[in-house]
Amino acid sequence: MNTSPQELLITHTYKEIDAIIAASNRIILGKEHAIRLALACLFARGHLLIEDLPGVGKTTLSHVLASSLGLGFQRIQFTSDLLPADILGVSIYSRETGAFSFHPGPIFAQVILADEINRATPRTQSALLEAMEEQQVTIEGETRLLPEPFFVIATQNPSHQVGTFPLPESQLDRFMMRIELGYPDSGAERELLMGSDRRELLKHIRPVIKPERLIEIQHLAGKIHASSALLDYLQDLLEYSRKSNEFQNGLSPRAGLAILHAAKSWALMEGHAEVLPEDIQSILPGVIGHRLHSLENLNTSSKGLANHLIKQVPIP
Amino acid sequence: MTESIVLERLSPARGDHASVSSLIRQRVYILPTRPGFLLCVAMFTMLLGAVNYNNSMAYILTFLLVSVFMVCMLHTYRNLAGLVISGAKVKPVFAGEMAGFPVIIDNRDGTPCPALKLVCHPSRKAKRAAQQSYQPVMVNLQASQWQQVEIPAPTINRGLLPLERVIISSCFPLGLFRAWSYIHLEEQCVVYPKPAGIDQFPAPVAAQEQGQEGVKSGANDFAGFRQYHPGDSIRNIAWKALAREQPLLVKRFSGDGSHTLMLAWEDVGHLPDIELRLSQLCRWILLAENQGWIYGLEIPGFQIDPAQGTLHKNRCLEALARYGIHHAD
Amino acid sequence: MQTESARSVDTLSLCWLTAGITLAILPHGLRMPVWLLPLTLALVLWRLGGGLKNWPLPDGKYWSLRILQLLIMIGGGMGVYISFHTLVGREAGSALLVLLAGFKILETRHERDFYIAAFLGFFVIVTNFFVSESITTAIYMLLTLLVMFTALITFNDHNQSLNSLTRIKTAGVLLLQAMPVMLVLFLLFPRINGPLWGMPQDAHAGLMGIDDVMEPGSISRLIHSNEVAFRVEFDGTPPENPKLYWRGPVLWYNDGRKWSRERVIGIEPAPLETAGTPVNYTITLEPTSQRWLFMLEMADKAPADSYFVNDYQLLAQEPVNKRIRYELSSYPEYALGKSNAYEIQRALQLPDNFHIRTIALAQSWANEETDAASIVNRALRMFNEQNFYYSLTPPLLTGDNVDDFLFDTRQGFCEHYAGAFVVLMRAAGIPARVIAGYQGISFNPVGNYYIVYQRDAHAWAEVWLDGRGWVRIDPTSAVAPERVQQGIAGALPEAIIDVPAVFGQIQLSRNMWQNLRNTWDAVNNQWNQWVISYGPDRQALLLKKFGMKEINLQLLAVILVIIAAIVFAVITVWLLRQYPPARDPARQLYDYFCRKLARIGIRRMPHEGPLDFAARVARKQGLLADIVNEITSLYVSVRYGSQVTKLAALKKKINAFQPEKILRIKTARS
Repeated sequence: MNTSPQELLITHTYKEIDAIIAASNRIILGKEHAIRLALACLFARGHLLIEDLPGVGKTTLSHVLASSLGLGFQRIQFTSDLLPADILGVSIYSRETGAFSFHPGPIFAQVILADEINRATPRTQSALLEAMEEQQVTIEGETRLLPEPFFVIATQNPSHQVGTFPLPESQLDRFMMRIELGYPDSGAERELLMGSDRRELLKHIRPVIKPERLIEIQHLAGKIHASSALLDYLQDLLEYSRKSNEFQNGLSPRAGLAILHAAKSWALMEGHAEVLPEDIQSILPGVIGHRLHSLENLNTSSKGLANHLIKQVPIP
Repeated sequence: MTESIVLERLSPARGDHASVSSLIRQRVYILPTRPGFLLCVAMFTMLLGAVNYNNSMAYILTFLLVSVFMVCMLHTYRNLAGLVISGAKVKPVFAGEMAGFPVIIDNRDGTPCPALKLVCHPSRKAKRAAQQSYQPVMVNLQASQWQQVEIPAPTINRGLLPLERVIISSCFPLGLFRAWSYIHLEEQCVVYPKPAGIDQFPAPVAAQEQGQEGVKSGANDFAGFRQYHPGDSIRNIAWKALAREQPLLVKRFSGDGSHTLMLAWEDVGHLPDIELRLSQLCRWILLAENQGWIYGLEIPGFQIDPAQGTLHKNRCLEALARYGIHHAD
Repeated sequence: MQTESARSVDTLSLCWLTAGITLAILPHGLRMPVWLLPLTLALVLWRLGGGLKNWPLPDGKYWSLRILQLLIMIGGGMGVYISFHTLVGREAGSALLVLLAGFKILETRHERDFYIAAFLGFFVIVTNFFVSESITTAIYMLLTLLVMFTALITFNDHNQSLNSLTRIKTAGVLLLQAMPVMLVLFLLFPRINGPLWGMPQDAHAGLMGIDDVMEPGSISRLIHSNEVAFRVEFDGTPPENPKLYWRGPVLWYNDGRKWSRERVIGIEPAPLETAGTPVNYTITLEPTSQRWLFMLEMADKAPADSYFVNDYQLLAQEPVNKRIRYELSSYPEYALGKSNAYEIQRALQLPDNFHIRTIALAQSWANEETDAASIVNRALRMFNEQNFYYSLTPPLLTGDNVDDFLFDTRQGFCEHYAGAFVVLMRAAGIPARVIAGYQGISFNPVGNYYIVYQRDAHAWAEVWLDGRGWVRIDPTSAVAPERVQQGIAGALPEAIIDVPAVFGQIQLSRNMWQNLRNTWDAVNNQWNQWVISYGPDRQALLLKKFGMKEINLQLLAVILVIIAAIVFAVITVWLLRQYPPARDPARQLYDYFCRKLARIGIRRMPHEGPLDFAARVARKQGLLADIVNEITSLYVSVRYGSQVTKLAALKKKINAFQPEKILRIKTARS
């Protein structure tokens, strides 16, 4: 079998990514699938929303990702009194220079952890989300580009907790994926209890790749081949979600793009030179969980809903 | 979830239908049209001519027409057979408006189905009450294509309007046969009361407790712009910004919530008729939404806290529409 | 049911309809009175102008135009009556139908008019067949029908969601799918002989061919005709050319200018003694509208529905108005007739005051010679030795045509020689008569049969020789032996035989042309045999082939219904089968692969991706893991990696994949 340069590149990258996952796995125990999804989201230049109870390792996950990729990391704890300026930055008059100088906010980092995003007011939320969408911020008429790569991991407590402002659906759509971490299984839990402090371990993480390499990987992921047969399958999925009466709203075209991009990254992480229906099926729960809602049973989990969708649509 | 209907085909359908929810099989009927009967007469005359003159080509032409006639029947039947029909969410309307029942027709065959005709076929009673003709809808389906059409039906009273029996028919290709089938879809349209009444708003109530800033932006202090999202009050759109060819922006206010209304049953208690009361409440809700009020609704069997936005408005209106109606689900 | 008569006709459908009807009308134009076609086309054009350019049309808005329309209608009807002196019958009926179609188009506004106009169009097509049933007409009418159906499809495709090509294709598909049932109906529909009611007078118009009147020019006018007189199929090899005399009418009576048949007196056929081996053959005679049938001299038994008369003409019971087929066997050696005073007297008849010089010559021969045979020889010798010429274009004879020919012009065609010869014989006291018919054959290698063309028409003489009976003498052979030796083609200048000038003198191209003509005639022959002259006889023949000897109409009707129902059921199943959207070849192969795996109990779920499925197969049947993975990875790279080049490898692998065998071998090994 002769291999094309593209395939060689993919194999090489695939090994690199495996190393990143292995490194992360040492710290976050028993959450390999979540890590993979998060990475797929990152490679597809999407942003990630983690929704789970406090204390299951959301912060640790974002920390690990940033460190193992060698990226600048900023954590913003959202509270109800957080103002947009606290995130974006402010211009302050400097007496020495006699001019306004801009003090960039925490958003000017490569990886942002927006912790408990639903605790802030909608106004602050949208400041972050708009920056996220456009990859730039406009403050006092001046547009400033955000660094590249730029990756937001927002965490959100389950919406029924008190004192929260749930993100409206239109804002949720800006996250490529929403994942849940869930409780660790018993084996991982035991290891967690027996092992050393996770925060200590975090300090010792060495970056596996350089940020420039990450941009290359993002480029490569975009180039993974999606055949018309695969697009047929994706369209069937979208069509089913729109046509069937089981969901409140069908998947938007933006959701379709998100699925495709995420599936491409996933294919790269699996070492495939082309996107397969399996790749779509793997990332589907993460991508559609926050976009699709069952009409009948509001409590259906995103995973259940995605599985239902997968089961209903035959692969063409 | 409503079920889909598949129009029956003589040959057993392949398993691939099983993928889409449950399908109800519905028979397709077929009869010659008037031109079809006329052609039969013409063909008989031609046959007589052929026999009389013992003319082989006349025989051939006659028999060709006879067999085209037969094949045409199959084609017409095939236009309908195998179609999968399902309903979709019905958009609510106000009483007196035309309701549009969306129907999805799915052609899973590799052959096109042109000129399908759908028409509402109500019971005599409903027809008499409507005093309006039911307009047919024409649909052309390409091979393996589905399409959504709206079947219009007039509304008279508020409440729930069920979709009457729909006839789907086709005369394609030659118009010699008409195939038809009846579709019963368990769809219903929520018909809001007709907005009416001349009363003024009831007195606004005081602000509620803290923690609701998010929903009651509507008042005084200007707090910046944000992008427009569907559901935002039109009143708050920054028209000047729009005039400068900027994207659609909405003015945001941080207010104290003094524009809060509670629309209650007692406020319309003086009106003689339930429908009049509902109409008055309906008008108030529309006005309040339009003017950026934060409003709630309280009628027997239903109560909703003050809020704002299209979704909220629709919930209030639906409550009015369903007032006093026992529904099975 | 819902009535839709209010639906008006759109212009596009109207254009198709008028195109169809115009096509149906056009062939009539050549046969109808000159004013009819332009008038009809003008009506059609008027309606089209109304649709396309908003010309005023005769409807409620313009009552003056309605009156105009009415006037044209009455005028047209009267015109037809004046032209044909009747309003019924084939010709006049067709003319009225054409006119009616034009008026119907003019007043087409609504759905109902549209269909009526279309059905009128079908009738116009049928009337064309009463005039011509040739292959070209059939093809032309099929095209017309296609256009008509396209018109109907266009009209029923309310929003014009299909493009024109698709509509034409749909019409074609309808026609094609209708063919099987049409064939069954055509072959098995119980045929009955004869008309249901009286045939109109003009059902059979003038046909070209041998006549029962012979005068100078009556046979040579046929020489340019390449029309087929009849076709012959021989059992075995045909006799040589000089023996191929096809006997037609026997001409007895000479009025000084022309020879004619005289009323037949006796129907008792002359006795015939035959010798040698007979030649069996079948003749397919083109319609002649005459009663005589042609036969190779000399047949002994008359076929069904025909009989011999006393001068041994073969006559059919009815005039031959359709192509007929009959079988004969003929003996090349024969002796015909017996001494019959009345016949002898008739065979010596000469008109008064005609052929004076000829009679004088003959009488001088009679005085000089002793027996009849030497007089015959003397006459033939004269034709042979003196300067007589065989000519297609003899000079016009103005006076006594026998005297002028024998003594002045001395150029003539077979009818000149035959006529002059019989006059000479009669004048010399030898009973003689003229026989008209054909001489020679042309082989058609394509259809493996023989053709006798109209140009093979010939005339010869029979003389009564005591003790030998009626003996055939062909005076033409004395002048132009090649006519009899090689057939008419040998005697005629090349240009006469229908080879277009473009083919010039090059033998190869001439041969090609001949081949082409032969093929065309063979096709036509099949068409004639199986389509046009398909009737009760042919039907019985066909049924006999399938072992049904005795058939009555009821039984035939039952058979027809059963077979038609079976054929229609097959079409129904075929039409109503699911048309799955066109499948990707790789996907088809993969489905095949999955079916093979299903045989060993591993079924792919519809939503299961290929890798997942392969993994599951590997879990369930570890022995298959390698080959399944290999096939799956090939499939994935073809279907999802778009590497079409690997399709062949995938096909090979999947075709060779036999899960049961692998399992058996590997289990046995371990």
